[in-house]
Amino acid sequence: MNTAARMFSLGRLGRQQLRANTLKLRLQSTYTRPATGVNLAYDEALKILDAYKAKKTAEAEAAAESLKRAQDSGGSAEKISELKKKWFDLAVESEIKDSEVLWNARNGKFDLSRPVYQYLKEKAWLARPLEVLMQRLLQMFVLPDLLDPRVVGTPESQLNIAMSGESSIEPGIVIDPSKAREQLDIELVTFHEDTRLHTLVMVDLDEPFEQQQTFREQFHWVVTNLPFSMNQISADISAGNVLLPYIPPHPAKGTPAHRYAVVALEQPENGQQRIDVAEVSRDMVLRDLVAQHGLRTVGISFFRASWNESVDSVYREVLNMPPPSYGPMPVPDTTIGPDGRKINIYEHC
Amino acid sequence: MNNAFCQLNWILIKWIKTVLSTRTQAALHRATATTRGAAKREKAASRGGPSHLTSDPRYESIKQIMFQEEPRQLPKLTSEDLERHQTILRAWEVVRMEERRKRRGEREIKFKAMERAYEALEDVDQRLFRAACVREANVVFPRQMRVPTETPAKKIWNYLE
Repeated sequence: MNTAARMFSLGRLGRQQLRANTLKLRLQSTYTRPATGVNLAYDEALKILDAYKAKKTAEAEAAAESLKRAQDSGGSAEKISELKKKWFDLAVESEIKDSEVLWNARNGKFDLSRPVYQYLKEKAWLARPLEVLMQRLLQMFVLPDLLDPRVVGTPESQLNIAMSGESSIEPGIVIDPSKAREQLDIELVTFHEDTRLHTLVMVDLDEPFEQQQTFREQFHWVVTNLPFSMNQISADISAGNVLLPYIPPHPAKGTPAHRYAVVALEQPENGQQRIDVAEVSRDMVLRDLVAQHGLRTVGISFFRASWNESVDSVYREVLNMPPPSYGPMPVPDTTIGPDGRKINIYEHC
Repeated sequence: MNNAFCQLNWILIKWIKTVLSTRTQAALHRATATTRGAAKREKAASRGGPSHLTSDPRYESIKQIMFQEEPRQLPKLTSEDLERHQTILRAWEVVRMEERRKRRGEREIKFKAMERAYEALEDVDQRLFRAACVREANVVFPRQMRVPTETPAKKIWNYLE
């Protein structure tokens, strides 16, 4: 009873100490196994875990063989998918108790060629980043404005936006527009093995539309036929069709903070159909594009930007127009006369 | 004489209280009632003594009991120690999981054997099958249940019952 109670208390302690030791863990670049011979229970634990791993690996190999037999002999699609799932589950189970795997997952190092890392990556995505993304999308009204939230639901793939060589941004943050001057580095983690073609679109939701004194959507970037799979998560723009070349964000002076959404849409027939020619203009609406080509939203993210001096260079160099400035109409000052001096309202002064 | 007068006074006051309305009784109680320690405190205050002597003596004992021992320190683990600790817990979890799965497997085998037996009985004799499928309405402890013992009884099972 005493040892059990101590074990439980150490469990709580373990979680507290983990937070304290997280800084130390982050400074390491690769996993280093703790020394054996210090704690005998640890040595026994390693033996147990190795035995379990060996057993599960053997089962996974047997499942892989039966899957291969079914695929070669031409079994039904349901049977094959069932066997595939069984193999995947066993492959994950065999490695998920491994200390190194768990350390790597905790520190964001995922080797997506292995099933256990695919499983852990998806689990990590569903744990918090997806919730944060959905909250930001709905809070900033990106979803009702850009796409129907009932149709989008929860995006099944994780879209990461990175700019100017930095790590991926949190969805919805306000950035300096100069950071997005060059083409964005997009990552789409699709959680499926097969390669599917996607269309990538970058939209400014808040482009001022003077004619109707309102805001409208403007496409900044449209690329089709981008292949993504579990093994290929970074966007290879050279492999796709650029229908609209990248224009950096240019939030005009005097306008409120613009929302720039990046959407990954799966092309029809489970991503097998190519879209080589399409009528796209900068003034299109995304809902129309999606309806025209039968696209399906699988990944979405966004950031915000406001005007600063660097935006003027975008207008002059990229758009070849003078940088606009929006604001209230200048009101004449009625207290100043034609000579530029204040009008005297008192008679005898 | 003085004592008799006090007693009489007390009886008179008690009678007066019963004649008063409830509201007046309550007001009188609020004005005159005292707590258990109030008399002691009043006495000490009138004598000019310190207030802590009049407080509940149990406070001292409580403080003694609480602070006589040093509070226990949580063990300090290095990151390696923590990693070892977590690995040990994970291995223990794996052992328990394997045991659970083994027991579940055994249960499933028994259940499947039961199912096969029922199916066989259905094919053989419908009357007996229907009787076997009857679910008892009043489920209580079986009459045959006995307290487990270290050594077997002289008569293991009464076959006549």
